Amino acid sequence: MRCFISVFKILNQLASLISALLLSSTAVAQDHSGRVQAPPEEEQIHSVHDNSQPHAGQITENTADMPMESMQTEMTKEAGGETARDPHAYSGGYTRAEGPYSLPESQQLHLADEAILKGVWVDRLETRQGDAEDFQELAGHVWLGNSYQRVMLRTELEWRDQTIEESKTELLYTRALSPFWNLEVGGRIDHGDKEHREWVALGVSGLAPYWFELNATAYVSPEGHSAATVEAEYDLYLSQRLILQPRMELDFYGDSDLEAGHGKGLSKSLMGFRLRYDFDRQFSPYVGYERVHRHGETTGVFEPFGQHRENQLIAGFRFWF
Amino acid sequence: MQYKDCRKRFLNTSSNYQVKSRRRFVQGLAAGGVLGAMPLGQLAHGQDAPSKNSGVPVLSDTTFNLTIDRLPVNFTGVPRMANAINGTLPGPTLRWKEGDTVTINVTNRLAETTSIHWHGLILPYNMDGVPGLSYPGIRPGETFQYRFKVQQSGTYWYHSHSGFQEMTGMYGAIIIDPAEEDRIQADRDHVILLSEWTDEDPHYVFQKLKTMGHLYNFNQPTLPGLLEDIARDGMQTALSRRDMFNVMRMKPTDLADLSAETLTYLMNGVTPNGNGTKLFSPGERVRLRVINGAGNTFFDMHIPELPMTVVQVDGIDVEPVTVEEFRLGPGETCDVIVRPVEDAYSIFAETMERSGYALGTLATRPGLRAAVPKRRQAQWLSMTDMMGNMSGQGHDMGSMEHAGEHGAMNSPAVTARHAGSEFGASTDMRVDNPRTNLDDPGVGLRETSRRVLTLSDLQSLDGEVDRREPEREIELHLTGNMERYSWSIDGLEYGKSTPVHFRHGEKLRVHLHNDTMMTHPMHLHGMWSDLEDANGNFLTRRHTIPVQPAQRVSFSVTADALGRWAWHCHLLLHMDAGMFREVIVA
Repeated sequence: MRCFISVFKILNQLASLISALLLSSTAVAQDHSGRVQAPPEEEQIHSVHDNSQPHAGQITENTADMPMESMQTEMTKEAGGETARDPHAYSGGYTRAEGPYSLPESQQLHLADEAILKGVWVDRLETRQGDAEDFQELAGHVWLGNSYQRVMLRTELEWRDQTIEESKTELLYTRALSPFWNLEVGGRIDHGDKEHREWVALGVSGLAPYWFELNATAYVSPEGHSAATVEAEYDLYLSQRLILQPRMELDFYGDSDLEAGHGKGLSKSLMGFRLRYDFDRQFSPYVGYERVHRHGETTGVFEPFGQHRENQLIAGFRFWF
Repeated sequence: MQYKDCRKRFLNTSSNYQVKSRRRFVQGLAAGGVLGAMPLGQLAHGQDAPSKNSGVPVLSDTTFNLTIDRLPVNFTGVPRMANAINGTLPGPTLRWKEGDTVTINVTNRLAETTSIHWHGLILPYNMDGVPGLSYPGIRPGETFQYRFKVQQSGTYWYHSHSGFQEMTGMYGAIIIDPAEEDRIQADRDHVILLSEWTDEDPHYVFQKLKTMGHLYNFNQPTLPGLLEDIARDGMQTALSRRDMFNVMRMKPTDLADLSAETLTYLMNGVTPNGNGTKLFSPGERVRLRVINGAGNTFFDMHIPELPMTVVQVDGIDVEPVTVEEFRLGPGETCDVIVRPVEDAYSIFAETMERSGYALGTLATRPGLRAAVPKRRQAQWLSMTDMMGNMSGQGHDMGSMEHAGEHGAMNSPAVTARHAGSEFGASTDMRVDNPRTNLDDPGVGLRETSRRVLTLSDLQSLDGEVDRREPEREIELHLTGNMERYSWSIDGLEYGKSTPVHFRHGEKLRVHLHNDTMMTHPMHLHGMWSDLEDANGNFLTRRHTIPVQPAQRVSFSVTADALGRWAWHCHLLLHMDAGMFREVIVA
């Protein structure tokens, strides 16, 4: 546990560094007024925002959507603009830790915002019946952390006849960039039939306006290869418990690597839906359908097996705790 | 540290995960409640007498001994362990007399630290019972002696201030009789203590909400709902009604974090099926002391066919105002006088998100029942709940004066000053122009023919105690992010915050501005919150002030109580998530 916390802290530092670098470079590039203040670290990290001046009868939502897009424009302003209050201005110099009437440190109040929580999310535990063959898939993650920072072990496993055929496993540190978006950094290991590949991962995940769940991750391998994955899904409530979830996934590679089963460019696209029933929100069996296309050179790898254009029927469970 | 200990403790005694379906609102076991501690019949039927709760003992003295221990309970058909005070749930009603000095010995028989906080009472800070601020808490096996002079009268309550212990049964009523004759005369006096029970471990509930904030919301906007709207109002109207919510990633039905999906609602510790009964004789003036001791639920209280005259709120006598319904947030109390003449009435406390209710019967003899109202449809949050002051719309910024000219004379337009720390991941929306009017009963109670109590109805009988002008003003914003399930003040959770300093002896004005879409009952310990209208006119003293979405509520505080005090949202899950500030008076 202690060891895990140190790992957590190191990753935290690492991400702080990356975030700070990202922010400072943009701020320097954009801010011509020289008004770059140095607010406490927390504020600096979270300053990716729409802070347009208040208008009568209007509300400013945090429209920091795709951080990649918004960071450019929003970094030009300080957090909260000129009129923002200092949240510590009312303290009169007092701290919670010491001063009159304070208790010894070991007895002081700590709430759940300082606790480390954990969870397991199994997004898809399913069997897929393809045109050519059947196989099983598990996709999910375990996490440890709080509202803004988590360490996440994410995996996608495919197996047939109790033998794992393909796996992607990622160890990620995630950190909040904005109300609805997280930065993800870490590594990924792929195990295939013959080959295994290692990647460094950098991505964003979050919730776009109109409730689209998005995840986009770029990968670079030590050999200089590159890859990217984009996933999107949406929950359409047909009733309070019957939910149709369209889902899309695109895989890209910077180089051809036929041994690992892909060519250059868009290698795989997947589109389909799952119709799930939430017994409670934690346990949901589903059925679904997905259409898998292999593109470009990758087509050639799968064509002999009749799997370059494939319909897959799906049945499985989503559960988490 | 406390958090972890509590969680470990709970896990030792109850299974923390069950797949279960609660498609219908669980009304609970008819004979449910506390197992073994007392005859079930007593709880279920309430052999009642004046000034006595069904099954809940009333202790009337100056010295009290309270023991906290585990207690087997069964409210839903699933046996569970509660944390209880003196073996009952709720704990005993404590009856004090203004002017007396009371001594309360609290013994902890739990395996974790516990505490008792005297909600709304004016007392020395080290008697306030907040572990980590007032004292270290009461450790296992220890007895802590509280001793303080009772300086006020009215209806109050007490509860654990440790983690989620309150949600597991640690609460009870306090009745303080005035030193002189009570201005409120009644032939009968009943405590109506509203609360809730979950079979789940509250720590696990909290953790799950961190994963999925809308976990217990089974009132989501649906596709058939959209089609219905389109058929009725046309495509344009139906879509625009949803557009802003969808763009902002807010749920229009995000009225409560928990619902009947996990909660069973209790009245004096009795489930709706248990028919907890309060007795009266026709024609009597009956005083109902209504206390919301729930962890996370707002109740809308209504007694069909029986108007209620509100005479006291938060322990302060107010100008009588007769209403048919009032909303009560966790921590608030409201005393009403009713004059029942029929044989039986349903005391109906429907939850704000309309997934269930607490229910009891007011009857001339045990065993009677009256018709139970149907639950209403949950209303969607409105533009007012998102935008605040709509009257200023169309004006440019800085339109304070303009908005005033346009009819909002009683609620001047104000511009919020957001904290720099609100521009971060902790805060999913910010309202620039809050509404300041207090005559809004809140979502779900706006379109009713019933007369519903609002904050603007409250007028203390004793008037303003501290007539000085406030020396200064402070503004704090209630903030959150439903997707991350984070709750904070000024965008900073408790762990990242610094104390709010009140100078000893000063009078200051506080503006609480709600940048979320939920109503937060804000409870300041140790000192009264003197509620004001938007023009600074004193209304009444409160200990818990509900602040509606996009609303700004102002009050004055006379900082006459040295020490460190808690100030927090009384929705326990929000409190523990960090919507909490320490106040230092020095």
